[in-house]
Amino acid sequence: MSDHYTQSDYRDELHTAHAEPLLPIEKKLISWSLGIGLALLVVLALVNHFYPPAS
Amino acid sequence: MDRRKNHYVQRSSHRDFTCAIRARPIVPALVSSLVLIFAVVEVLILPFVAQKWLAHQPLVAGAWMGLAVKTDGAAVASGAIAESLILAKNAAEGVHYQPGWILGTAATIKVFIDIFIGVWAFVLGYIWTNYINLTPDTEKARLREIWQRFPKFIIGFLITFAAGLYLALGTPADIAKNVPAAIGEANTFRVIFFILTFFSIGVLSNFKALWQEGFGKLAAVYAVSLFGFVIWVGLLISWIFFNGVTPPLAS
Repeated sequence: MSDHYTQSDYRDELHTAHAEPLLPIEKKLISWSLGIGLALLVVLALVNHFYPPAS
Repeated sequence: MDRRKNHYVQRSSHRDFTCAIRARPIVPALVSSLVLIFAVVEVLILPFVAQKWLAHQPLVAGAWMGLAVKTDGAAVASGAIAESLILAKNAAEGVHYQPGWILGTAATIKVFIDIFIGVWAFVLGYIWTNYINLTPDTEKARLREIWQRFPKFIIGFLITFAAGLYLALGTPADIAKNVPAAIGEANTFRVIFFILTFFSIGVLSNFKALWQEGFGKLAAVYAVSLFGFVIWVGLLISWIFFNGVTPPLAS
């Protein structure tokens, strides 16, 4: 994919880039993604700890 | 906002997904250059860090390589290097682990990441095009269109995993004892593909890009997020799930 762009394309793009603050919906998506990730991490860590039960 | 909307809804080639997530088409190209460059840096550093501090937690090291090193080839290559270094260090201390477990852990973790990236990208793309970026003048993404763009290799990963699991669980002991010999035969191909992997990483790495005007700032942001956050989160997760788990000893 990177073959389609030249170094001057990169330079132009970086020079003309405008600041794009996150939209509220993007903030919501990030929050949900982090929340789901952390919750699943805790759940899977507990499953990993208790299953299979120590013999 | 209107400028953005007009920009997002272009419907051509690979731009659609990046438009759907509000990125300019050149941004993924920039980031993929960075990912490749830093993957090489990670391959050169992380296995040695793992040997130094994780030699007695071999599978934590393997999982860490799979989680922290970007791009599949570089992650598996890191797993292979880490395995050689860690097995050698343990052997020097008189502990001989079976080979293949660290590399296998790195590769398995990486494949699972790929599968979940595919699933998550599909879900996000669907939500974005059907609920968030929906405007009266754009039609909803049809299921057929989503299917056409879905990265099919992920299904291959899933089928291979399911078939491998089924075979592993259902194989009688007398057949299973011959598996290592069969794997030994397949190792020839593994070595060839490893050489191709390293060669491809070298060919694709464009270190000159780092010196482009303005690119350094982007590289600095990526470096901070990678070395300040991603690597350590990967290490934490690897530690939680693989702490204390060691490969079987070589007989």
